[in-house]
Amino acid sequence: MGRFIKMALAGLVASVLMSGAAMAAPDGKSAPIVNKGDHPLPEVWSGYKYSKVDTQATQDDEFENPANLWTEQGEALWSKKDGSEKKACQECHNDAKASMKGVATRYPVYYKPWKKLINLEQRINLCRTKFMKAKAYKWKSNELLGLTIYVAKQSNGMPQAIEVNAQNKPFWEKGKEHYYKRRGQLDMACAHCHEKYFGQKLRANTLTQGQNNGFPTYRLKWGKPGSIQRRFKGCNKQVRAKPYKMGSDEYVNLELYVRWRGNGLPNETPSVRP
Amino acid sequence: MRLSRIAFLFCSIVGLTGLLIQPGMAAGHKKKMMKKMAPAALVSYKISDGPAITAINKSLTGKAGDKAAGEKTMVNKKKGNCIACHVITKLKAKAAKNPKKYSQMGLIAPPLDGAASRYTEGELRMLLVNAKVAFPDTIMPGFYRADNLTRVMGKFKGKTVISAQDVENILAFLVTLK
Ligand code: HEC
Ligand code: HEC
Repeated sequence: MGRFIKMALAGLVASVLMSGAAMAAPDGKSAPIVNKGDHPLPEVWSGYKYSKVDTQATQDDEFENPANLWTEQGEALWSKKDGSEKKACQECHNDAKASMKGVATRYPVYYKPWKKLINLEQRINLCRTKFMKAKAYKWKSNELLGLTIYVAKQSNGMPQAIEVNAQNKPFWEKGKEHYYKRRGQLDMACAHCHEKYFGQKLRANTLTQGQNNGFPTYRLKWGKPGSIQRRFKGCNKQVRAKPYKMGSDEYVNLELYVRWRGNGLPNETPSVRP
Repeated sequence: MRLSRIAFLFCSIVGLTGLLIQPGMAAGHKKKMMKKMAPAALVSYKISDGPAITAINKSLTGKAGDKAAGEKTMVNKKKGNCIACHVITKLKAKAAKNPKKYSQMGLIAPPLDGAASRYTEGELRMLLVNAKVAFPDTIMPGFYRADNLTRVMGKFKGKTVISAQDVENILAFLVTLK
């Protein structure tokens, strides 16, 4: 090959690559969210990136996503009257497609009456007990999973958007402390698996950044959707650490911190994971 | 490396002081305590300097290690589970034949091939007992320690991941990786 042709070819390849890179939107799936400055992750990736192609396809297929059963149940509950007040979510919030847009990307939030954070599931249950005078749903119930998925889904495509401010900062700090603290008999921190070794194989599992942008997620291993709180318990148990209760202050603070780590990642509830 | 020095100093003190005793059981839960056997104290050991890192030169049990048993412990998910993180090329043929038992070997840590050329037996023993003495920030669990841990799940409290003889057995396998 002549030198000129080689150079021309190289130029062509380079420009194709560059235009490719310019074209891919930073969605955390094919191109990362790039952080500048003071952030532990220079590049943020969705867990989606590390799933097998067929698992990705199941998530993407509007009809095949196995969490649909729950999403539909959640949609039905949105307008179902319940409790002694005989009210439905819809009566206060109208169309979820408008009113719930973006909510998942900024939860957990500081809730003044509790003087601490409240996450999405807790907010849903608070609306039930306070305004509908209905019973709180259990953490692993199909009802709570369904409603949370339905609410969170309205933020799909929107970037995770945790703003650290004077009110939530102390809780964010506690979440951060949890994230870097070694625990359990195996003495590992979240950061060991999800910051230091993401993208690498831990036995047969490919570690991800442990992001929260697709929760509640449908986990093939669970055979049903699960909350981020359930995931935290599982990760604690893996290192033989005593887990906290779902909805405990420790885990809700951690949830805020983990979502902050994923700032910029488009929401993708319900995600499908191995 | 300042951190490893500090870790080294700390551990030499612990080592010299001798006994690494199981943390005492919390007060209360008296009934449960009566039913459970009192946890056996860990074998004490002395940490000294090796050519590359610190070492525990004396066998923990005084009994020769069994390398076949060691290999079993290394692949057992509930025990050493070394291949969760380390590749051992020597075991790849077996792994291909018995994918269930050997599963897929992890890639987050350096392959163990040649480990015995890089470290003395005593250093390898130290790494197995508590790798944090040499590598303070490592993800690798300390397999024969029960102290200074946070929120250990009830059934593992005060217990080591593997026994002192397991350590010696794994070591018998590791020294063949030249
Ligand atoms: C021993 C390694 C290990 C530790 C330590 C660990 N995890 Fe995980 N985690 C995993 C594995 C394996 C998975 C499943 C594959 C994946 O998503 O990384 C997982 C999954 C997750 C997920 C789901 C990600 C998704 O896209 O669905 C989240 C969130 C998560 N972990 C958060 C945490 C947090 C927070 C901690 C600390 C409390 C933690 N993990 C500690 C191994 C670990
Ligand atoms: C959760 C991950 C993990 C597990 C499980 C694990 N290791 Fe390691 N190991 C590491 C990492 C990572 C290093 C490298 C030190 C570092 O940078 O952290 C290491 C280093 C070593 C080294 C020194 C290697 C070298 O050449 O520097 C030896 C030997 C070793 N491990 C043996 C074992 C044995 C034997 C087991 C099982 C009983 C085991 N490891 C289990 C992660 C692990």
